[in-house]
Amino acid sequence: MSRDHDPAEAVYVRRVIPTMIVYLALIVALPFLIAWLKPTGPALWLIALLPAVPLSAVFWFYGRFFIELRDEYIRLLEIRKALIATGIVMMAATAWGFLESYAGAPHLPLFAVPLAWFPCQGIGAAIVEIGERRAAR
Amino acid sequence: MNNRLKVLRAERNWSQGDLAAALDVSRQSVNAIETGRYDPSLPLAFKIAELFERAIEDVFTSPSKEN
Repeated sequence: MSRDHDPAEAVYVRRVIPTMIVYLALIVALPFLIAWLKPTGPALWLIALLPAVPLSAVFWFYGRFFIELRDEYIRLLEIRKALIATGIVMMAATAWGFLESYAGAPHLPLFAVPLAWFPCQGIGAAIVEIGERRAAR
Repeated sequence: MNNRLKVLRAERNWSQGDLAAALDVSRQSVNAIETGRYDPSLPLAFKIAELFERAIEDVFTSPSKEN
């Protein structure tokens, strides 16, 4: 039986889903937690950093996914998708930064950049998929 | 890199899926190697050559010898 679904894909999903649930729970809970505890100084910084932990973990899992993929060609395609997504996000962040500086565009929080990377992965996947289909003809 | 994978596979009446299963890779990988879109790593190239009981240069053409 050939391996069109690498076991690393299921491992990645199993890691990411609970981590994103924790991230979303923290995003919802954090304003209440800050209002309730009224922390200041380093305590406030630590609490404010909490959502960054699961979000950073997802990028760590993505790195693990690349390492754990057993099929080297599929790994190449996955890296290609990630590079496309990274390129799009970097270009968009650069363009938006200049729009903020010189054209009065509304300020976006920096964490919008890694969050935007996830949907851009979909664009990367579509581009890679189109290339694969064309080549397979 | 040119290769004789399709010919060797046809000699054995194997589908791309059969070869993928024997190599423990995806069918997509076999297709990409066969069509020259992807050059396999040395370990995978050796695995392919060993599966067909050939020397590696009997399966893959050295880029320096390609026309």
